[in-house]
Amino acid sequence: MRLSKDTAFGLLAVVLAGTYWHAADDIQRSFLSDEVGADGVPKLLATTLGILGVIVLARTVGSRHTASDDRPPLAAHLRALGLLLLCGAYVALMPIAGYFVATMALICTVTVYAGQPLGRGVVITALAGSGMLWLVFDHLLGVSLPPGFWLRALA
Amino acid sequence: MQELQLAWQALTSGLAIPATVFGVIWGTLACALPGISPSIAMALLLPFTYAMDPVPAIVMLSGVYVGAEYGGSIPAILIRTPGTNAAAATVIDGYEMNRQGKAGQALGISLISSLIGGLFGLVLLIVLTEPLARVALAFTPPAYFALGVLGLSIIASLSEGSVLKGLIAGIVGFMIATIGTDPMSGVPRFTFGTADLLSGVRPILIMVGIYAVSEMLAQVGSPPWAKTDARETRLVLPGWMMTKRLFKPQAIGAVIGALEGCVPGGGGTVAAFLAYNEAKRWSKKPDEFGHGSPEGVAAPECANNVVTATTLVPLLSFGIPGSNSAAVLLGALLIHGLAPGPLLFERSADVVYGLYGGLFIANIVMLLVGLVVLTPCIWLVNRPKPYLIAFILAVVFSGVYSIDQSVFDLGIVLAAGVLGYGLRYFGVSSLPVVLGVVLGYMVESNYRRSLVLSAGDPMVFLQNPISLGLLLVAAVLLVFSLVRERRVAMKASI
Repeated sequence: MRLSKDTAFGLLAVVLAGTYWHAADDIQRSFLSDEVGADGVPKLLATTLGILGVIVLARTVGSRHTASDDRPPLAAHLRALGLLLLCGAYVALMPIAGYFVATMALICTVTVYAGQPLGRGVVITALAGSGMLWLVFDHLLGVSLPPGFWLRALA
Repeated sequence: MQELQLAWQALTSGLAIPATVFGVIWGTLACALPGISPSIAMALLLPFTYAMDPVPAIVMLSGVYVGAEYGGSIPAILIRTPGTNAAAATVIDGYEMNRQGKAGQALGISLISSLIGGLFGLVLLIVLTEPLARVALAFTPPAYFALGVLGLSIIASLSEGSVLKGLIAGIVGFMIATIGTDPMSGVPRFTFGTADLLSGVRPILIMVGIYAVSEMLAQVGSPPWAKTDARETRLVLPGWMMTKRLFKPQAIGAVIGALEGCVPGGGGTVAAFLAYNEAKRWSKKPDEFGHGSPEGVAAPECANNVVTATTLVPLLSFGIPGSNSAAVLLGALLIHGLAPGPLLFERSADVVYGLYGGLFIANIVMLLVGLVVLTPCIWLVNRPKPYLIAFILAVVFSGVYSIDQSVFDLGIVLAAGVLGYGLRYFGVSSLPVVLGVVLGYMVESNYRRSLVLSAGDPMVFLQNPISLGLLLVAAVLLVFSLVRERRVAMKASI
């Protein structure tokens, strides 16, 4: 059985409310706490979210799928997932390989992934783009960017 | 007249004018990079002011502030990434206009509205500092709580057809705002043992993720863009008819920005969202909002630039910094041995009037900088889509990393990107999440502070006249939105 978008949204809201309530219940008690307590507002939010989620679910019961329930093709979601993985790899790689190399790799791979054929132009653009960003952030704005193992070894 | 002379002397006796020009250029360009907030842009220049005279130092930093608040709207319109928190409301219609090939027009409206807002705020600062300062002092925790609730109440009208889903999204934003150290007892909440989450999640990380990263995730799976017409890559300033149309939203933005600015903590973000909402309510074409309405760009841009001037009211009058940027400016004043307060106007009139003159010049320079840099910016975002996606992600990640030099923040941005993508999938507006994140802390901390001060009596919110007034306005807005949604639903079913 295929869930409608609204049903899935309502279910997600209820699950999130339950999980959040559980996490709020684990908040440490403090003798400095006020009357409401550190968990007071979170529990109120969880309850409200749960109720709203149930209302969304109740509304969807018996209602037919509408035109707005049309889903984008799975391929589009998979493309998005691929890009997300590339970004995740960048985040993981940056502290090890350093900002310059990681950013160059990000520009290069994302450009190719988004449909540009791999060629000298892409590599040069990635190299120049990464260098320019490094100059702006590291030199102009004084942000301490990760140098990477290779620069550390050279130093 | 004497004040004008003082301002003129202060500005022309040293390097004040070049310092202002430099400040505006720096602020505009720095805050066009996502993640660099106005306060960061100002703080980066703060060390350089040690060796400067007081007037050039203060006007340079105020120039950065003016430029920064404007600069944040450039990526908001062009790449769906608010450069600053206050530019988040500009994304809604600014980016839609860009998608319709009207980037030049959107940027022109934003530029002119920012200029009008900045100059209007300056006039208020000069003329009404004393009465506006009283408004600032009248705000107590119950009033701040009510102000936050008023901000949250606009979720209903910004939910694009489903108040219920909008409320759920708003609660999710509020939940994100509860991450970090509890404002009253100091115990960690939802940090899962991670030190990185102790100070909470910065709203800008959520905004960048929800807007920019989710947009790139959606774009990578969609067909290539159509080739852009050369005429669409130029800055277009509003003509006479458009100027007439924008008068009302700009006036709304100016009034809301004036009031929000002089309330410490109110800030440009809340002002921009409230102005957007009210502009929509009073517009002859409310249906255009969210689909590329010029009024939807004018109102928030005017509001957040009025704030740049009126936020100085509590700073100069009482030494209360109403925002992070005002706090940096306070630091600069103290560095030069200038203590803000009523005596500042007597003992250092040259600095105060120099600041007023500097703000005027900063607004004019902002216009000139905008005229020069915007056309190349539009050209830049019309490059082939694969390159653009890659560069936007690289700039976004670099900007985010530069906030706290934290790789963990990049992970938060990616998570927010997934959240934004999910909201798109379910057809839910992401604005309520942003409002929840921005206002959550303010609402919770002031709610609990109020109850502590009143020994747990909830009537405190109704006994305080400002709080009562704001809560009533919030209730009216909420009911109005629900009734409107009901009417629209009934019309659709007929």
